[in-house]
Amino acid sequence: MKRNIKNVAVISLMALTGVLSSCDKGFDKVNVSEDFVSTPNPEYQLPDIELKMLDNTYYTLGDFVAPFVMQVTNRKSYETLNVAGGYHGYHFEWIYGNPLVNVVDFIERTKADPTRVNYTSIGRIIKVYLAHQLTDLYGEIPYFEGGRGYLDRTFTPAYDPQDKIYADMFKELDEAIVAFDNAQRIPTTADIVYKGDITKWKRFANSLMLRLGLRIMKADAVNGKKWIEKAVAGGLMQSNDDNFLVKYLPNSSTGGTTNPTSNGQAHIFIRYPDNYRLTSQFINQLKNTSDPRMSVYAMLPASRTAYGAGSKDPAKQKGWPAFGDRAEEAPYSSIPSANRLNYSVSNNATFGRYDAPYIHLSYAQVQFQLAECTVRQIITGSTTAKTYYENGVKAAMDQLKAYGTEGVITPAQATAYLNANPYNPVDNEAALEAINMQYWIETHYNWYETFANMRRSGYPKFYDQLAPVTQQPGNLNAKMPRRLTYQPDEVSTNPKLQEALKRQGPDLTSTRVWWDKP
Amino acid sequence: MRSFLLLLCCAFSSLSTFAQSGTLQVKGKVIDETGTGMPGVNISVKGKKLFRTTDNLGAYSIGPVQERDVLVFSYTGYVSKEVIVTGAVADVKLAPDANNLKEVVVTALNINREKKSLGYSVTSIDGSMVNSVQTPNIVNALSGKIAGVDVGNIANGVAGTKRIVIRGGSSLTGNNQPLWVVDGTPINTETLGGPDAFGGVDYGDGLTGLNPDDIETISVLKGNAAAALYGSLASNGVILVTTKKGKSINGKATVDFSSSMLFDKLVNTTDFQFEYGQSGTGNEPPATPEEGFSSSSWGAKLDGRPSVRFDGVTVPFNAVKDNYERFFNTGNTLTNTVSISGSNNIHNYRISLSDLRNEDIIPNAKFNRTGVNLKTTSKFGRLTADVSLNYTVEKAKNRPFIGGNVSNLFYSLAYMPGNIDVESLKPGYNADGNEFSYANSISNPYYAVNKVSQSDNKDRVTGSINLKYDITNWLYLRGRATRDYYAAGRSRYIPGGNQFTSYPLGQLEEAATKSWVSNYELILGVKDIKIGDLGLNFFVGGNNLERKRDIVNTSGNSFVVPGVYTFNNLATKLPVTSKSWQKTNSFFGSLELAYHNYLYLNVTGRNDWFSTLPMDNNNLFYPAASLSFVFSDAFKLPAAISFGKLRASTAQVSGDTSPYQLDLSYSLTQVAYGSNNLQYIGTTNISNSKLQPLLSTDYELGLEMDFLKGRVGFDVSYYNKQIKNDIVRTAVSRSTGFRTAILNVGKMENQGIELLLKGTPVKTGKFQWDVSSTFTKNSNKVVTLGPGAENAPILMATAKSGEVIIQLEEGKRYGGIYGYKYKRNEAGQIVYNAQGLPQYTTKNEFLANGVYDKMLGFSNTFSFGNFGLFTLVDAKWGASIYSETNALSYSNGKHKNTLVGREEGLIGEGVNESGAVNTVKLRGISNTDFTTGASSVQSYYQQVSHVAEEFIYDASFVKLREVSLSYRFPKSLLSKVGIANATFSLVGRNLATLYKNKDLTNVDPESSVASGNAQGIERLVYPVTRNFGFTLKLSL
Repeated sequence: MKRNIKNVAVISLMALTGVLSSCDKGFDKVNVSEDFVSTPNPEYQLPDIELKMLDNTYYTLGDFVAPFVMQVTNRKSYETLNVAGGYHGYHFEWIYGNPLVNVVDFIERTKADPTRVNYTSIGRIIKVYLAHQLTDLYGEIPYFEGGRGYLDRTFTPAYDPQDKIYADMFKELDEAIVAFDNAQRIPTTADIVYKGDITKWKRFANSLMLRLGLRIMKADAVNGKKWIEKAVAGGLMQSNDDNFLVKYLPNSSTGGTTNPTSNGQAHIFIRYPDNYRLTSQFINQLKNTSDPRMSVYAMLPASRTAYGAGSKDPAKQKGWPAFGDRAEEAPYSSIPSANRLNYSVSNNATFGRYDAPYIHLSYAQVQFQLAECTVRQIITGSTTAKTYYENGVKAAMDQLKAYGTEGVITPAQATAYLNANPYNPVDNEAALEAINMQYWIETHYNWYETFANMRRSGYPKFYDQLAPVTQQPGNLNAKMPRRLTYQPDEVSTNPKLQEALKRQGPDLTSTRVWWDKP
Repeated sequence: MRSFLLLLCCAFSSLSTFAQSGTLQVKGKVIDETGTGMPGVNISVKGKKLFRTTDNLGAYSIGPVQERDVLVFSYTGYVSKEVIVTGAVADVKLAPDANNLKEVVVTALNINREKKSLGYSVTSIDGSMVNSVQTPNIVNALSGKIAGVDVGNIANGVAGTKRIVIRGGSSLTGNNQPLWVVDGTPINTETLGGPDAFGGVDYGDGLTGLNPDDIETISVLKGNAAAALYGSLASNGVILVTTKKGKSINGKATVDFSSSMLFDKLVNTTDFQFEYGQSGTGNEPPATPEEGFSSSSWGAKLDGRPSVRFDGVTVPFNAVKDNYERFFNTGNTLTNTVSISGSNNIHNYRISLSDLRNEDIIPNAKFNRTGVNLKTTSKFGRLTADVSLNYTVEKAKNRPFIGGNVSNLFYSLAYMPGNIDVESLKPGYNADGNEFSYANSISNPYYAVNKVSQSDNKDRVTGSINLKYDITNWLYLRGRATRDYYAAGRSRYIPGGNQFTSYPLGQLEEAATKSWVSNYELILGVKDIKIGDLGLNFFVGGNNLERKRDIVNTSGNSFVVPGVYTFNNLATKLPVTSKSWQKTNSFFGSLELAYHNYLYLNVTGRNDWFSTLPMDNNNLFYPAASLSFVFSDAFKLPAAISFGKLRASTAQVSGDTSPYQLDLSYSLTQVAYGSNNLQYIGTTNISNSKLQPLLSTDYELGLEMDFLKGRVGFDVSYYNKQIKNDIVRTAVSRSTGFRTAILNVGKMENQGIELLLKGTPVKTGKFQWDVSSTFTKNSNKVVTLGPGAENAPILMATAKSGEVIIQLEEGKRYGGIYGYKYKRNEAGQIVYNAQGLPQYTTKNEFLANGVYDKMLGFSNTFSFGNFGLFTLVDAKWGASIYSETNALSYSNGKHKNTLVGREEGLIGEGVNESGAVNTVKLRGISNTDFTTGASSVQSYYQQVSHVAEEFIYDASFVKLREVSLSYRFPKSLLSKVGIANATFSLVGRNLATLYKNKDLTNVDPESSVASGNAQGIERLVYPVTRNFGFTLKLSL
């Protein structure tokens, strides 16, 4: 028996060594997912990023930003829309979780390859675009450390003051423009916006620089002017061909995050034909000036339950007052529902489509901004503000052809409009009002930009016409919302938010961002 | 599979070769040491293939045999006896085998060990404890019966996923569910998908497949020492289920039949206000269909005035109070099991067929389970083969959607203003099939049950084959293969014409899941070696565990042809596949030393290699040791002490995580953009290439004593368990670009006491009263969270409203509920603003804990002749719950508390922002003395609905969980109809809530929406039911 035990011990030991040496054989193969790949292709990443620059969900835009600029109403009261939380933060979630984290990854990967310098520059410009929209909406944001959760394992990115963000965005645009190199690889296929046209990218970057420069004029006139001059010297967009326009595809009703190939913004009207209306402020403005864009933008709803073609007759269009349900206890349905069919919605053949294109920055906007710069003598030159203004209006009307046949406005119509509504301001105030009113109309659906420009310029002055509203707790008697509130989870997941609140002020819609000086 | 069949054939063919011819028939009776006839004694004839067993009086008859043949009488626990045939009568008396009197329990790796040798806590309960009241998930039946085991009655429906946690959560955010092992086969109990507060359908877990009637015993291995040999899967304890073995009576196969019928009746816990209804214009009832289309209960008094309903019908504006009762049906569960079993010296088999049919209280909702269970043991010389095979088919229809809002019929019912008659919403759709409802963004509950379709099914085979070869009488080799396989399918669609989902043209989700869990194990062991006073048992072995899962999810939206609800008919199709594969290889050994049969030492060690961890850091060795000292055998103690044992153990267990957590991966979108493929970061979790195995270390001390020949006894344990380097998935700032991150973090500690008290206060001839009580106290602390969390708390869950989160904080108990509190001044008074509305904090603050820390089970068993009565009281303390139902009902005006000041206005008690007493009188319906600029009472309550503090309730409860009254039919009566045993029981479950916090109105304390770690959030869940019925058990 003793011998047996010995034998057993020897056998076990042999078995043991045999087993131990191969205990994790092949495990490296087991732990590779079959569903995903671990190395991305920049050719596939870039178009995805360009498509996702547009927040495909409508939550923040449709429910807050569009009502804030008084172009669309969801018939909720001013007070309701100004309470913190909820979908205020959805755009923050979208931008960081979709285009931003991917563009940061894209920049990081292409940076390692000198032949992809043009890709890197494109990535840097897109990143500035995304960041400026975020910081304009929320104020301080995690800029330097944001979107780097995987790369740096930064789980609680620090919030950065907006002046520092702006300084870096200017630097980034400048460096990205300089770094472009025609001798290196050109993303002719991957770049679905400019097809790799470097000249157009430079114009877009300079036009963005102009936008940013003008934005900070109240807070930092010296740098604002410096960068505006640099942008003008560098070459701005020269026609509607230079517009930063992303085309989308039809045939998708996903409003969610799964399908970036369609424009989710029209979802608000398509999905909720009874809940959203164009405002009386918007419709009346177009109506009072016989603006040919009325029929491009508006139609009457066909029914309360389905979003179909209704009357596009400009004369029949009617807007719902912004924040229309203001009486505190008035039910949703205080206006008899059948009457809702008398109030305009988006034209389903132009903007109200999942395949509607989206203009992030346009030649028309550049012209309006140059007009303002001229009026305010930030730039000097032979072109008059009037010329810039008229170029802007014409371009703003012309660019709508991108929205299909119902978007086409002839040059004759544009000229007629300008003749009927001539640019003859009595003073600079009136000039700025006229210019920024056009900017307000032109940025239809790009309401993030409308909202920023309204706060910056103070035009149009629709908020002055609102009856004094009962203030909700926390909204510090602001006449107009000055920002969106942060993504609610930030309170619990990022302790560094508190530093931002200390510097910037409470997380309320009444708190002004850095460049937004009274 | 082929080998299974082969074995089965062997088993059955051998059993059929019983009778043979001879010359003599021997009759007699087998009695035990007390002179009582022994049923079921095996009788064989040496050298012949002739077997019999005694009948239930101990009588037998065997033959034909010849004189000088040797009859062998054997019975488990008794010394076998050989009798030489000398005539036609042979009465035999069997003596108990001192060695075999040992109470044997099944421990890790299905190794039977003498209970007194165990240095750790094992609790076993008899199968009858779980099969007297039969509900679809066996976990329900464990509640309150085992100390240290927390059974959560998650409010997700009868066949939903249940939560069971042994000795507190051991992982911060990971799986805290124990490993279930059925006859040696580790089974897959993971949930097939459960909802969180944001809503969803709970598709149940792997435990609905267990048929309680097949269960002989359930053993719970609570500590690490008990589970160390199962490795990482056992870091949360192990529940070992042993199914019934075959038995023969009178040498014949036995047939058992069990039938149980249980009725489920809704317990309406709601107590909403019925004084005010929907809002019209001013203080009038709705006068148009538009005004009648509202979920607000801030309207006019319900006083019978005419009002216009959402559908245009004019009805008196009256309260309708019994909507819940009329909407729900009486549910029922009918369970039938029939089994055939037999045994002799060589073979033992049992086969059962069971069928469960459940009709839910929700109209059109059903759950069915059909199962076949087979278990055989055969001895072929030195080879013993155990085979078990279980095949179940489960089918569910219309499992409820809970949590969330749209699609949740409970949401719809809870929001329904008091003037709406639920039956006016029948059948849920118009003539054109389109849904109609009573308010915006609220589904019609009848549409949810009549038009929305949800069905799922699961085919599952679990089986094991276990071959043990005795090389010598002290050396053996055991090989085992186990497999748990299922194929599950599910389909859920919402037709076009629904009102409030994101897809008015309908949506569909189908998923096909295949899952495999396989184990291959080889053990070489040495048993029962005696070296002087020392006994020795030893084995080494290796195990290979492989888990694989394939999911094909075909979903999409917008049906092209209305009424055709197939994937191919979708305008947008979004198929996704998901494959998961992981392996764990292990090497382990165990050494058991026994000194004089009263001192036992057991040392084990195991090394695991995990495929899910980085190759350079993928394995860990962990040891365990336990000591058992039976001092009642070592010393001579006073006669009153009949048994005493001290035990001590310490052990470690390591663990890994789910696969593919190490590297970033990229996905392609489902739709290409023209010719451009679109690729993006495919995970919202920040992966981590530096993950390490986690390590759980525990120690345990226990004392077990019996007095007065077992009339009184106790078993007490103290345990302390620490987990280090836990692999945690925590929510991170969205500005990282991700939602969660996975990291090794922190340290958590659980310590607690478990106490089992049992006694028999009365034991007279016919009457016996047994009492048993279990008590558990678990205190739990998050010791550190480590550097990885960077002062950010670990976020586990968020309420749908966002008002409340469940998170972990250093130094606090596990699973704290955090949310906004009232803003208060230093004196603690609530601060109101100029409009008279209460203010709240802007940071989430600690509010309460969502996990129970004290549990008590108290059972009484009375038997009087053939009657038996069992009662079980189940109580838990130390947890709170955030009730979103109540928060919502403040907001929509259904809560009774919102009646205060509704008419005459009110002044909030507290101070204003400048510190003076708040004097702002709010606007009610009829008062004129409100302060200028004051807000309304409605706004006041809507503001309060955001203050989480207000909706935190103590969730303690005492419930009468189970009552059963049974009657055993007298044998004299039964023998006339050829029945061996028959018992009839009247049973009841959840019969009464004996105690709950009186402020917790409208919901039950056990209303957690999720079965995972996020305990303490309630949101519009499946209601409580009371169950009663009867069970009939027959043996032929």
